[in-house]
Amino acid sequence: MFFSNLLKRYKTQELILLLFFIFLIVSTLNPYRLEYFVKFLILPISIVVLVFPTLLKEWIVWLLTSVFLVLNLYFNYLHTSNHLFIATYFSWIVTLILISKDDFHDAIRISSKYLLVLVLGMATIHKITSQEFYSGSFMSFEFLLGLRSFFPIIILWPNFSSYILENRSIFSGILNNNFDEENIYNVVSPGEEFFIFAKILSFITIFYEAVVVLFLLIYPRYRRLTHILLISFIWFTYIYTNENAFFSMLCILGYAICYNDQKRFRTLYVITIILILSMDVLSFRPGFLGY
Amino acid sequence: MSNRLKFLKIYYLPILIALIISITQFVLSTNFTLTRWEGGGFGMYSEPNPNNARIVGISIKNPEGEINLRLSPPDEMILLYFKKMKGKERDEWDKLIKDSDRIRRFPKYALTDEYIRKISNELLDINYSLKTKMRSNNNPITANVYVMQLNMNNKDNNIQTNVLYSKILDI
Repeated sequence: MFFSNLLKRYKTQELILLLFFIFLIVSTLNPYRLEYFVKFLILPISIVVLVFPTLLKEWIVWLLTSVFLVLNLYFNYLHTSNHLFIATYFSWIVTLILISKDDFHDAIRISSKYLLVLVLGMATIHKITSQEFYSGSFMSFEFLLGLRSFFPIIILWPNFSSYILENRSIFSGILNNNFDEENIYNVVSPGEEFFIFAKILSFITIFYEAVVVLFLLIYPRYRRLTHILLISFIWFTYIYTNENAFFSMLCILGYAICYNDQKRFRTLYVITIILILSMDVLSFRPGFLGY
Repeated sequence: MSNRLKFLKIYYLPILIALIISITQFVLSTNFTLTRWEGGGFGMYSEPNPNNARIVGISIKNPEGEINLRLSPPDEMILLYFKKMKGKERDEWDKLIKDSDRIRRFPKYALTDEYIRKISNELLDINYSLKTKMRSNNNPITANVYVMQLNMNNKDNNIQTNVLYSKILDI
C-alpha cells in the first residue's frame, strides 16, 4: 500500500529523482563517506528537495548538487567509493537532460542504460584481469579473515568461526611485526574444498555479471529477463558483499531504464532500495547471519 | 550533417567522462600500483581492499640507530603522539597521516620526496635523543618508505607479504 501510494504520488520520473536524494541523504549520514564541507552542502539541499518535491525537476537544484559532488571527487579522488562516482555521473546526466528539455523519460532511460553497461562492464573486466579474483584468492582472503561472510559456508563448515578467530590473530601479528621484510604467514582453513568453493563462487560472480552486461547491451530486447537478471544479481552479490550504497545506486539506474509498462519491476527496485538503505542505517549485514 | 549527429546529446557527456575515468583507472591499477578500489572504483571487489591488504611503513636508519614504524594504518605510537598534539602541529600531522593513507591507495603517485623528508623529520623530532645521535656523525640518515601488499596464496594456504613499492632517500 505504502509503495503503491508512493508510486501514485510522484510521477515516474520524479520518483527516480526522489530516490536519488534519499540515497544521498543516507550516504551523507555516514561521516566517513564525505568531506564535511561537502556533506553540509549536499545534505541541506537533499532535505529541502524532499520537503518541497516541486524542486525535484529544477535544473538549478541538480546543478548545485552535481557541483558539490564533483567537489567531493576533487578533494577525495583516492578515497571516494564507486557509488559516489556513479552518483556524480547520474546527477550531471539529470542536470543536462533538464537543461536540454528533451523528453525526460527517454533520455534518462538511454543514459542510465549506458551508465549501467559501463559500470558493470568495467567491473567484469577488472575481475577477469585480476589474478587474485579469478584464482579465488580474494574470496578466500575475505572469508578466512571474516571480512565478509556467506551463510552457505557455515552450513558446509560449521566451525568456520574458529578459523576466523585464529586467522585474525595471525593477521594482527602481521600488522604488528617488523614488516619491512617479505614474509609468509600460514593461515588455517577448512582445507582444499574451501578453496575450490571460493574459486567456484568467483567464477559464478564473473559469469553472472558478464551475462547481465550482455543483456543490458541488447536492452530493450528481452526487457523482462534483463530486469530479472539485474535484480537477482543485486540480491545474489549483496548477500555476501553487504555493499549497501553501490547496490542502491544500481537499483536507481535499474529503475531508470524501466518502461512505463514495467510497474512491477519498478516496485521491486523501490523495495530493494528501501530494504538495502534501511539495512545500511541499521548497520545490519545479512551475510553475517551465518556467523 | 546535423541529422547525422542528432543522436549525440549533451547528456551523454557525463558517460563519456565516466568512460575516460574508467579507462584511466584500469591502466593505472594494472600498471601503476593504484588499487582497483579507488580512483573511480570500477574494480572494487576484484582484489582485497587496501584498508585490509596494504600497509605503509617507514624505516629510518644509520649506524647510530633505527626507527621502524607503521604509518598506515597508523600504529599505536603514532596515534598516541597524534592525540597529544594541538593546533597547527596537529593539523600538520593530520595531513601526514592522510597522505600516508593516500600512499596506501596509490603508492607510485603519492610517494613524493617532500613527503618522505617531512614524515622522517617529524618522526626524528619525536625521538629527540636518537635524532641527536644520528645527526652527530657524518653518516647519512636514510629513510625507506615502503608499501607492503598482503596476498593470499590458495595453493599453499598462506598469506604472503610483498613489497609493492618502496623509495629510499637520504634525509
